[in-house]
Amino acid sequence: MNNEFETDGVEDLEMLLTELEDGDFELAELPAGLWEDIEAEALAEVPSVPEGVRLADRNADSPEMFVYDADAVAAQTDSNTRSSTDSNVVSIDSKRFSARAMPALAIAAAAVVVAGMVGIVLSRSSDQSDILASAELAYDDSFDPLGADADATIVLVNDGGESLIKIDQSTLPDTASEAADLELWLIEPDADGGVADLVSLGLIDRDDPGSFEIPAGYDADTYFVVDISIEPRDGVETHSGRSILRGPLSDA
Amino acid sequence: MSTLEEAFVRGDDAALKQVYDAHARLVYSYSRRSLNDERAKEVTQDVFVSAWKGRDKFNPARGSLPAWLMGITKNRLIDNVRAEQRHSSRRAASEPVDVGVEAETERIGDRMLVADALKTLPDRAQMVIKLAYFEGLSHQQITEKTDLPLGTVKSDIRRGLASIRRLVEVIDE
Repeated sequence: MNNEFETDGVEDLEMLLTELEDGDFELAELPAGLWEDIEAEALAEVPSVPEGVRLADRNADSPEMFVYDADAVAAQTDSNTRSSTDSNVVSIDSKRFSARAMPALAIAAAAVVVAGMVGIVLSRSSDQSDILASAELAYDDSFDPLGADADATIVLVNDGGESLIKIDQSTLPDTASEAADLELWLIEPDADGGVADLVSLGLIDRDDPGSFEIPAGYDADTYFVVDISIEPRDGVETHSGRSILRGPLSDA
Repeated sequence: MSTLEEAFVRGDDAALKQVYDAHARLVYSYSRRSLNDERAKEVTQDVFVSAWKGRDKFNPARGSLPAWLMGITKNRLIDNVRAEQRHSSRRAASEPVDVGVEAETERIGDRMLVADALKTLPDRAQMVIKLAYFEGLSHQQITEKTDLPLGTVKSDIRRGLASIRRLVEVIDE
């Protein structure tokens, strides 16, 4: 813990009291817009990661999409070719998920019909040897209904030493009619399946989804949950809270 | 744990605003001691957003909420000092790194937190503690100057210090 204010008992506090200067009591007026900026960033409604991508092992009978596979983690520990020399860095291998599409969820998603949704299917072939990890994104009942019939396959590829996120195949809703775009995000989940942090990769061109750079300072090992959201063209850059698809990357 | 701290840890949106109202000026003013207003605003925003997102890490048994917020601010400011030193050392590799700036940044944060805690005391206790520590008066001199009984002076100081310590101290795990 390096946040501590250390006082060695009363003596240190008494010493600090004798050192106080007038300036230590003076508080500056807060700049305009500070609270609004904090509110926008801290309280942006981001739906928590759905049940299916929680990190805890769960009852095999429950309608989940992904199950944390502890045995796979153990088996992968020694053969992890992507492991970092820094033991603090958690690789995708150690967060391996075995993806199991469960009938209950598939039926629930198929049963939702959204009027006016026009999906298009795009197929992009990627060189299999370059694929480091992939994610099957799925709709969840807590998401925006526009995503009910959507799906997407995301791959993490090694492109000449640079990691790129590619939309390999997708069926995405047309959001132009409501003056909104689709945006691609990487999420760092917390231990409870909530959102610890997230970063935008950019807006998705539905006709040519293409590939996205991972911004400097972020990596797909930590930010390993892929999310697609509907973003109204309102100038607000934070996540709208209207996710349509989500799923974790697991190594290819 | 105070009701506000409980609500903050629980993730109550209104609690974030209350915590901001109570402590943002302290965090911002501390940042202004080493940064310009624009950077100080960014750091303050960063501190509150980080604190909110990491609120499950706040342990009230180890320290007060303002002490925790000031600890986060201190780390951000020291990171900033180090980054500036790295930057300047690239320009002039022979210049020695000034470790004093880092220590001073830390000390200012401690002092401002103590000053802030002092302001929460009743007026009489504030006055007595200021006489004792700023003016360096003895307990006896304070009783002569204020007409307060010696017991009251001693009690105000003892209880005042304990109260300040509860607000500023962070207990190492």
